[in-house]
Amino acid sequence: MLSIRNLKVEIGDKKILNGIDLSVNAGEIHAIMGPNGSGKSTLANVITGKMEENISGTVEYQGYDLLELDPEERAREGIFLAFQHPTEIPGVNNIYLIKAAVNALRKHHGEPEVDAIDFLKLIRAKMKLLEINESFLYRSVNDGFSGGEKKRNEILQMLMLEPQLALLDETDSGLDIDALKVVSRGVNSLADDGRSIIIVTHFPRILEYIVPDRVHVLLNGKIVHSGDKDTAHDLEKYGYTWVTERINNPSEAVA
Amino acid sequence: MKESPLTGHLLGLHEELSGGLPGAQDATVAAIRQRAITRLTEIGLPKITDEAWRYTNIRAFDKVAFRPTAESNAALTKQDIAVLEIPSLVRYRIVVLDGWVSEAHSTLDELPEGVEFNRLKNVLEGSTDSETIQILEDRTARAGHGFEALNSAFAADGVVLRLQAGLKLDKPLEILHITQNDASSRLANINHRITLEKGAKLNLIERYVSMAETRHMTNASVRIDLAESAQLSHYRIQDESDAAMHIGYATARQDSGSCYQIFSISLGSLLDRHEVCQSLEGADAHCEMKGLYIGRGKQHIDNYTTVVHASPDASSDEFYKGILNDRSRAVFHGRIRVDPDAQHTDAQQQNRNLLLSTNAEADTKPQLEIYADDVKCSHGATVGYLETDAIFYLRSRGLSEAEARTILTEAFAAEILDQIELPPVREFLLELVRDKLVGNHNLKEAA
Ligand SMILES: Nc1ncnc2c1ncn2[C@@H]1O[C@H](COP(=O)(O)OP(=O)(O)OP(=O)(O)O)[C@@H](O)[C@H]1O
Ligand SMILES: [Mg+2]
Repeated sequence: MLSIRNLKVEIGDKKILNGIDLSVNAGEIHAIMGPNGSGKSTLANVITGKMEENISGTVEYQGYDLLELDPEERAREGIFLAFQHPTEIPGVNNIYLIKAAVNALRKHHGEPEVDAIDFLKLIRAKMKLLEINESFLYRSVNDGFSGGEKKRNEILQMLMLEPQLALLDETDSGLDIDALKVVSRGVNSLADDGRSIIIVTHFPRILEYIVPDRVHVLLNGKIVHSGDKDTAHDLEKYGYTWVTERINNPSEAVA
Repeated sequence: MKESPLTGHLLGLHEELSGGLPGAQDATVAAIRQRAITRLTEIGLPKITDEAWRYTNIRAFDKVAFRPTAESNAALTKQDIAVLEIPSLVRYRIVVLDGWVSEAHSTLDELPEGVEFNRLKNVLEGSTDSETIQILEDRTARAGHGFEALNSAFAADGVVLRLQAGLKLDKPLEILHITQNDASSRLANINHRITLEKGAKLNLIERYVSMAETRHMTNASVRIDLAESAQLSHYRIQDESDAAMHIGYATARQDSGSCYQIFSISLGSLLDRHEVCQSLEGADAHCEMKGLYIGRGKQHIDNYTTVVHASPDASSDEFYKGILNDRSRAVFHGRIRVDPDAQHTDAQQQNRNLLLSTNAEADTKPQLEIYADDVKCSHGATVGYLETDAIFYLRSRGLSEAEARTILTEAFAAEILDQIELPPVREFLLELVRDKLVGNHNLKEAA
């Protein structure tokens, strides 16, 4: 599905990503954890096309050289990012955007525009799953939404667009305990053998609901450790220093 | 000082034509016209050295041989007008053809009792309505600019309308101004006078269209008088030929408790100057001034607004937005004056400009003169481009950059248009604005 080789990103003379290698197969769920400023969102931005300059290395996605595609082409080919900080767009109706996005994808795949009634039925079902009030459809995109509402709205869009590769950048941050369960349920409803999900998070809790196949630790723009789902708990217990020490001193690894 | 070629041309034209203007035989009317021409000779048409016209240069029209056309209904058929209709709008209509009220194309006999209608032409010829005639004089006397003097000097026709006390007109009234396709360099001087007596209510659509892309000039005055508790919603839609010059001024006087709302929509003409001068003379009066202008090509759009708070407890809310593409240019001047007696005034003003091209330009200038101490006044102005984060967000959902820009630009315009309470007018304008924006090739490129 996704194969990243020696990805480097510089902004000014600052190295933000420092040679990332990451492979995600179809059907897999990966988590990326790492301290603030380690480059997690930057990685997501490179994958979605927000960052286009001063990038070296390769990103291959379903046979495409991803870095050659425009952001909208990537989206139409099935890449979706739930933003860490979703943009507020005053004046653009939420349902209008979702419908336009759904149709853009359908058009790309040679399908006719979605039937208005089918669309409404589907979005209502997804909203029910995510426990979102219908009034959100008719408000401006993210405009005046609370932090948690914005996150749910991102997941609603994701469920409507049914991406092949979904990136969730700290979708769990700012969600209350119940909301976390609801949102996780939504994400799990999408997961299947054909799709891949990358979850960026600071907290192991979400990984109890959405169980990852792999957990990667990103530090200073480099993946310094990759492990199974228990890695998240080890990190919580011992902190990021543990990881660095373990790398420096493999023999002292905690069991 | 040497007059401009255009001023000279118009003065000469007046000499040639004044004998044939309506009311030329009437001594009062003739005297007023003469005083107006004297004033025009003195001050000429506005120049960029006039403070109020600093950014708006009319010299591009110097060599146009503008000329009024004679009254004629013959050229237009009912079908010609039908295609201009605002879809599904149920309304009364008065058509003004090349500056002349066309009774044949209007629905005057439908107007209910309590609506007094007259043509300015008849007023001038019969000198029957001294108050209306006085207005031509007032406008010249109150140190208006050269176009106002020009208008009084050539005054020929317009709508003189009065709604009697308490009358709430059941349908909107549309005054549809049409410049016919054979009317190249036509000059129309239009004078309307709208009076709402106590408690009367009207939705007025003042609309300007051209049948062809001709280089004509419209010089239109609307004088509005709202008695106590009267309510007027005024939709002014200027969509004339992209080669035309359009000069308009709406002057409104409000008594206590009255409510005036104007949507000033500027879409057409090469040069557009629109003035709104609002006088809140009665306590507790309220006015809302909403504007939307779209500039394309080399269009120049100048909105010059004045709100005078002369009485206590009144409020004004002004919000103008503009979208500027290509090499277009907008000027916004928002003057608010709060007199010493106008305590508890609430005056808001905002002007926002969206530039779609790096060659477009907007100049915005608030001018606040506040002489009372217990007032709430605020103003804000912005000039900027579409937000890159918003564009990216939409692209990340699969929309092309062009679609993203269109959606965001339309949303910018909709913030004004969505406030229009007549659904057919709102839908019509949303569609019209969409057309103007889609015609914009630049919208499809990165700015
Ligand atoms: N446009 C930019 N200009 C300069 N520095 C940038 C820019 N974008 C990101 N950075 C820097 O790159 C580093 C990585 O940022 P990034 O947002 O990817 O971190 P993150 O891992 O997502 O952090 P967090 O957990 O706080 O969300 C930070 O030091 C950040 O300041
Ligand atoms: Mg981040």
